[in-house]
Amino acid sequence: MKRLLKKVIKPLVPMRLRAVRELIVRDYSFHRSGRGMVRRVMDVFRYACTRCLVYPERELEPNRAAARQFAIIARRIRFTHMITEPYFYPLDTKVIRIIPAGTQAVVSLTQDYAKVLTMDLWAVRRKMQEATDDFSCSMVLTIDAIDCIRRRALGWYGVHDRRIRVYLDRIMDTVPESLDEALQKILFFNALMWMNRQRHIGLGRLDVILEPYYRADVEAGRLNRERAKEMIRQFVSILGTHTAFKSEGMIGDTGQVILLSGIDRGGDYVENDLTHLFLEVVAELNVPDPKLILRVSEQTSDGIWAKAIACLSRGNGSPLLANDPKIRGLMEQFGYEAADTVDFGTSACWEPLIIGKSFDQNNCTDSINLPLIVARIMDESQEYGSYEAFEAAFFDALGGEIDRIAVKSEHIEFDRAPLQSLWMEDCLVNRADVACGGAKYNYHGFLTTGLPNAVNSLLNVSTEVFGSGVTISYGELCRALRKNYVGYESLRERLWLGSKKFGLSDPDVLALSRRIMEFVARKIERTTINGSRAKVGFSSPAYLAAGTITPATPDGRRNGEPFATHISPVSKEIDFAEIIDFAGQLDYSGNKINGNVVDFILSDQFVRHREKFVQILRVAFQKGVYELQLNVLNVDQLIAAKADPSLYPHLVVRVWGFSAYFNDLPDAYKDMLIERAMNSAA
Amino acid sequence: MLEVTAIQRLCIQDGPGIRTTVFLKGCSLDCPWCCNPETKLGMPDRFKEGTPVAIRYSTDELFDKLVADRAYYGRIGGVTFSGGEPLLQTESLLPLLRRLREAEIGICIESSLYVPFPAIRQIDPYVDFYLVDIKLVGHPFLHARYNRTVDFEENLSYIRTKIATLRMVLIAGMTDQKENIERLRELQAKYLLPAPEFLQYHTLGIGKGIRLGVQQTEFAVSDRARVDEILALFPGSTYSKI
Repeated sequence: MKRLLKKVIKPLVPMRLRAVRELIVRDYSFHRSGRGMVRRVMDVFRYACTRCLVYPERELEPNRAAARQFAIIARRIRFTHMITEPYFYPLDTKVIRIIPAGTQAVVSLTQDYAKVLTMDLWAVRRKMQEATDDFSCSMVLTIDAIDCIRRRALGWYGVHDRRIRVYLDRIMDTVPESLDEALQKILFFNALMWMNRQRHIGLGRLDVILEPYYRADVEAGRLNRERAKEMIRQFVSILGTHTAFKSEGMIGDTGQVILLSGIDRGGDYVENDLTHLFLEVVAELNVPDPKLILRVSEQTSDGIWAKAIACLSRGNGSPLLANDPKIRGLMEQFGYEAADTVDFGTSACWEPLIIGKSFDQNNCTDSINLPLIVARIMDESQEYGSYEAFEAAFFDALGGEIDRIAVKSEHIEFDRAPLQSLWMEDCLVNRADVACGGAKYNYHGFLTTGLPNAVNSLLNVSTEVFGSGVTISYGELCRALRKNYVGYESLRERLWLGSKKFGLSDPDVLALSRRIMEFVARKIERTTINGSRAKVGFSSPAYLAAGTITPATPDGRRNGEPFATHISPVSKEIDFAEIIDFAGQLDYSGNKINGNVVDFILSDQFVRHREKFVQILRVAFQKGVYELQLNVLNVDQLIAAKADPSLYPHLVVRVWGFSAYFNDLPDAYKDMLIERAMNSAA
Repeated sequence: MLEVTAIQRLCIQDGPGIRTTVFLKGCSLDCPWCCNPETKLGMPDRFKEGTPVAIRYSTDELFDKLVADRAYYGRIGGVTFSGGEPLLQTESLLPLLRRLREAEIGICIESSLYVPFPAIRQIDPYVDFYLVDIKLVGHPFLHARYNRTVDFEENLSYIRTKIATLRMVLIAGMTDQKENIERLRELQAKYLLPAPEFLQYHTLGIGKGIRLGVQQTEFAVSDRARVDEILALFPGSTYSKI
């Protein structure tokens, strides 16, 4: 009776309801019952009743408190709620760790799974047991919690599934003896990291990490390529099963990134069977999560390029292409050790860090919203005698905004992450949690959003208001923006089409883009986050959200409309070749290394001419592109584009002797392309 | 100076390798199904919204643009001159072709060959290969304003060893007619021409006609059965759809 009453009353406790209201917004795995106040209240109650919320104990020191939460989770997770075959994946989405109030979540880290596979946890426990400081105690508690889950799982599996039982028996201190066991071990610990609410958990260089296990199995005759592929397929499927639960910001944004290829510690180019297998599996499964990043260079083989393009042609967005030598070189220039840059990975999607050694929180501050700065200085009461004065006002305001964000970010109190710290040698040596500076690298990052829109806005003000052929006064332009271009449609179209645009290799456009990037970089150089130097990147996932709060801007963008995606053109006159030329001429040196993605949408025509497309991509990276995200639209997207032309306004369709935009095609042609994409998918 | 209506980079369907296709203004023909009507003689200089139809480039300006993509061309790709009819600007093209040749950039000409023979003879030393566009064999839609001679078969004979592709847009009731296909077969046999690449008709040019303020006729795509019949008559031929 008492238990029943507790079950009914507990969800109604105010603190719990407040926590639930926050969680429910971000938990995409929870199915809401509908709109309206009554339904929202019911959803809150339903969520509160069906979730086990694990709060931190305030009387404990922070590391111990976090480890204690994990210990409680270890006892509460239910095996009926998780995947148990063909691999055991102890993720129970109904048990939620509550991050302590006033702290910022630890996100976007990638552990070195090679360490995860080989570390003797009992040996670490013995060592940590010798001390009584907060960190050491948290390590002991964490290892005990892992063991608790392990033993409960052994009990649950009972006498069945000898294979998993053997793996669980060995998981604390024994190096795996097969690829199968290695995959199981990675999944086990990966799930536990998710249980600790460390979001955006990367997967690292799995082709490098798993190669020794794969090779040993093949040479011993225990495994062939087909069977290995099936195992990888199951592994990838399990990782992608809880996409909704793992998503942050929007569905699909899980940060589960597998890096392929690059170079090894000996400086040799990496390409092995597993590099090929991961590309094949993601292409065949056609899943948006987990994602792949392919580290490319001059050495990338035609075979790998072909597989990458085959994967891209499926429309799932994988792999993002990263310029391996360029990124490594720039990271070293910034301050990372050259030997460590070999193992660069990303925090979530594209911001570089060092796998297993970085606490780099690369997206831990407010984004620097560049178009919003432009919108703010478009004030009718101000008068500018020249474009130079207007631009000076822009930089003045931008400087103020960066100062505001920098002050807010100077000291960030992070949540503690003992389970993440466990795998970092530096944390164990320093006896400090990763969130307390225990890791080797703590270079956190700022991001800007809307660079293309801001550049286009300034260019338009330069030519339309202050240029030799003045077409509109400053005051009138301000009024047009205030009215969101209502009654100014032809002006808006002219501004949107404008002759000089971000993406053109025009001296004025390049110079302005570089001026803005350099200004932001120099301001960031003078900031620190928790005492460490900071980085900045010019791609941000905030391009949609930031757009919704930004009024109309002089590039022709209306109030609330999204910004350009990262480094991408907002003009139908700038096609792939132009944006590649442009992006290759931008300067990413110094601290400007926190992700710089050229984002481009292609129809599948390009990727069907595979050999030629490989050549195009090779040259794109020779020209200095930092990172490239290509989106080849699949059937569903083409159908959506036909229904809503605003979705992909710059989608190019190439034919012999002609070039057209998807939106300009008659419906019959759109239908043909859709049908062809369907056939290709089949 | 060269009058250019468009420069398209990273073309993967206009010849071997990766190419930049330069579309030149002016044409000796007036094909009613033309997908680049802005290149015809007598068309307005500007689209209705005010954008000029063509831009004039000096040899140096155009060379600088084209050589910038050398890395994409590699050994197989290069520049394709199309239009319109590029050979109407032969004299203006020659200095550019010389420079491209010196820079070891591959050159392709896409032409209907309805031009005077001297134009072909002048340009041929610089050309690696040709894409030949076949319309109605023997009955071209010569433009009323074009008053020079055309030496189609003489041109064809002269360049036949360098013809990489023979192209014909299949249009229902027009180019796919039995007579026209038969004449194409005769031509192919007479000059030992490669198997044709038949192209699906598209109406993408009609939008441009509207922007020019010019009415264009909409034709129809040849039906699949007729396409298959035609393909069977030309072993090794292909049919490309957009």
